Amino acid sequence: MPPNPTGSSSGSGSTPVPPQPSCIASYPDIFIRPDDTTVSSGDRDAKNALYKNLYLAVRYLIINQYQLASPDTVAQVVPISPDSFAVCPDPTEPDASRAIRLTFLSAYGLLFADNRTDPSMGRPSTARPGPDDIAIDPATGNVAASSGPNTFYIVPGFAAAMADAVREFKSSSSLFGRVLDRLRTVGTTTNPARITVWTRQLSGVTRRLVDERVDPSDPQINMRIDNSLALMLGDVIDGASAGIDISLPDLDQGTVVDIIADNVRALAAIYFSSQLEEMKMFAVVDRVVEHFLAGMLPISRGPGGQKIYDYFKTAPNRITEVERRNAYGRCFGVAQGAASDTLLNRNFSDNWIRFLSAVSIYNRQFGNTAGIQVINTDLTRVTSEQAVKAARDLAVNLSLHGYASSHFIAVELQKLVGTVKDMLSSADVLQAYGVRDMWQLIDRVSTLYLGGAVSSVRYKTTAQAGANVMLFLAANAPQLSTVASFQPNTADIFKGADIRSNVERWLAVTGTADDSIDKFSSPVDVQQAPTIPPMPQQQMPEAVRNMLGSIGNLANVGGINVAMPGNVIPRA
Amino acid sequence: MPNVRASEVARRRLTIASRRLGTHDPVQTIGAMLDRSFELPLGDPRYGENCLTPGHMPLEHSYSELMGSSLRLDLEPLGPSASPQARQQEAGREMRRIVNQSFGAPALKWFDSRSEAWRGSRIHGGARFGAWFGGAFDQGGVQEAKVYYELGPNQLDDLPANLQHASRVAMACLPGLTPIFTSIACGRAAGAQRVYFFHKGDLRLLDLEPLLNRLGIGQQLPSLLAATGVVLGGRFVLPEGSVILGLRDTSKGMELKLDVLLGGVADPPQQLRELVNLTLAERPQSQRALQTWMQAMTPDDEKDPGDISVLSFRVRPEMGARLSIYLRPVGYDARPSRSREVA
Repeated sequence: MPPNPTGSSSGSGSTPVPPQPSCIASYPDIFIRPDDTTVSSGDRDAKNALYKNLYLAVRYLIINQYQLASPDTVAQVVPISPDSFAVCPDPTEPDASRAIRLTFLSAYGLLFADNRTDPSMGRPSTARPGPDDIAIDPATGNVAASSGPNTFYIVPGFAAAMADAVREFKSSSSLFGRVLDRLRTVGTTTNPARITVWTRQLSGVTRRLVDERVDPSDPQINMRIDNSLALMLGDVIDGASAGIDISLPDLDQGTVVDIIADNVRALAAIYFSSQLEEMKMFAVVDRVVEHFLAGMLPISRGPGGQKIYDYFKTAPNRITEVERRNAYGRCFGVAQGAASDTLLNRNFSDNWIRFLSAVSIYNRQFGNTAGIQVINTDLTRVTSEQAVKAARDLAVNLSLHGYASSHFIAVELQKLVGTVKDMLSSADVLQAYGVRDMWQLIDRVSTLYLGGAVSSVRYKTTAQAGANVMLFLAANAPQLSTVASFQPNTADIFKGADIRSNVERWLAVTGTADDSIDKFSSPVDVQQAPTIPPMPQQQMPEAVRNMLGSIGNLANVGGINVAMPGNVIPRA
Repeated sequence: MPNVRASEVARRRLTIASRRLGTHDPVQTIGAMLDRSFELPLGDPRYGENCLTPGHMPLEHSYSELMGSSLRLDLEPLGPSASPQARQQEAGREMRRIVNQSFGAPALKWFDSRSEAWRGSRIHGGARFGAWFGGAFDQGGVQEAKVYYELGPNQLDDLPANLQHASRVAMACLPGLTPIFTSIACGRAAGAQRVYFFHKGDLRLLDLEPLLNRLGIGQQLPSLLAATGVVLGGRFVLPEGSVILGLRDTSKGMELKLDVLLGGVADPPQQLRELVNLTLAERPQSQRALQTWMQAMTPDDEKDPGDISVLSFRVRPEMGARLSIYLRPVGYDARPSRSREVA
């Protein structure tokens, strides 16, 4: 069906939306339109490419595995091109077509919210397909006759997730319909005439309502939907982080999921915050609040004072410094936070410098994507396999430490950084300290009250570049996950301008010497690379251990029975 | 024993040594770190790539006159392939864990305040080893835990004001001094920080006089010269590469520590142990403690505990020269495939 410029009505037909002349329906998590200025063109292309595979996979499964209507009808409602799925509600449209569209949007949104965005689940197109894999040709949206460069697979794990999504939709289909209607109403703008709906909001809001056992015929349903949407927007809109599943890989089929992209993204936010912590940004803001409360700052009523006061009042609900430092220790192994924490990321530093060194030298050897050799050096040569291995080791390590509280801490730290930046950038606060910007403010307060300033340029750079490197790993998690079938061009991802620039900026600002880069670019055999957090066993109390140790030669000491034959008996 | 992990041997030997000395077993406290640091097989040549004991496995025992009945050790954590930053963080983490466990929250707070500059992600780009860890154990448990942090250029600013000032005085008196690392030690009753300098060029021991005078310990120069002269067989000029100077701010004034790296001395005295014994003869208690310590550290299948790698002399305003001996323990390095002794 071509884009319908006119018409209105609902997903379920229960609450018609007024007709919109020359209307465009926009689903930004299905297809980001070229006129969407909130996303850069590079991001838009990358995301649209990612969404297209999900779109085609859901479309294929709905057409071929669920008896919603004849395949031709379904194919007409859900066209092969995602950008053509811009259909506004049409009162004249048959109920069957509306039901198909609602099913599609709901299933798509549920999969999206569960981070099932890759139908191949990490499988490269060059890998040998499993017996139940379905190869899809993006050009036709159907089964590919032969494997091509753009062919992707729908693996059984994804088909099972789709089945779960359809089952979830069918159990509350009328509620999904009511939510879709409401989201269309909320997302309607008149100039230009457009209806914008995020499918992840459709699934997220409906799930909340189902959890609260809301009846679709509740007269206050719209209010309840609005409340759920407000809660969701105030929280996270990029999918429920708690909804990520751990899917154990089937090595025979070459599908591995030991890099959870969202875990890596969470750690990028925490890394960003950790660098600002070392810059003393949070310590400075605490000192500014202290000065404000003591009446030392010449600030009267105004936005700056209000922000400081709000910051002070919300302190009990905010993550504390100790909690922040605990998170840094757990995520990156820095010697901060709780001294007795056992699940620290001891391997981060090594994996980090090895990855940066490998990418740096790899690019010096092979140049950028245009094939231009940037620097010709006599340093150790790094093969593409070695660079991919270094990236994989780091990504697996970050993914492992991104489970559990990391997501939630990352979200909170992201908010905190924004709040602090906003507060320290207020004109009246800057004026009170006689500085021009927040970085000068941090320098001044650090120098005067916190035992000396650190290099803000260094930490700004490491925060930005380091977080970007981690986001790069998250974005390329599917390519890095696989060990079953190496793609010759996988390492080309390291030749991109962004990753090269971020790596070199980090190395340069930290003054990393070439001989260090050379040394750490060589791969090492990683003895242990767990992909799920360990469960620490309860230790024997120290008093008991001491008692056992004092029994003498009969005791097992440090796991070695010194009284056993062949062992050395201590001399008197 | 080609397939035995070095950590297993280190664990066993430390346990036995602690029993012989009557001290707390270090394995109970630092066993996990030993495992992480020495996971390669015994005698693996890669162990030699370290800065603590270059060419040998980076585990060192030491005897100190001031802690005569203690089992002391220093090690370079995490093995030869680790990055300096990983070592810096590992040493810091272990130190904090042990200090918190053994000495409590006030000691941890003190350590945190002294070590803040080295506990984050910052490390200078040309770092060689990052950090070492040291510990001393007596019959009551952990007597002292210590971490050595490598100093980068201009990192003297991260030292406490007194130590910073003393460092600048030392560098003014002896222009050949270059700060290389600092140690932060926590004990049961107090903590202390020391800064170490490498001395470029030969050092005439008499050239220490202006520095000792400026630090208020000039009266101990004769004692230092006497002890050094006796142990080194009358040598009063130390060649380049053999001298490390340490300064520590104590409650009773500044302490100077002169470490003589025997690897840097071309012809160390043949009868070194006898000369050490001779030096300690005037303090029989220390002499007996050293003999006990030597026996405790000697494995049953070896004749001696290892090679002396460093001789150390320290003086304070109220204390003449006291000796410490650093030992490279025998039995950790690869043995030659056949005997080269001449029949």
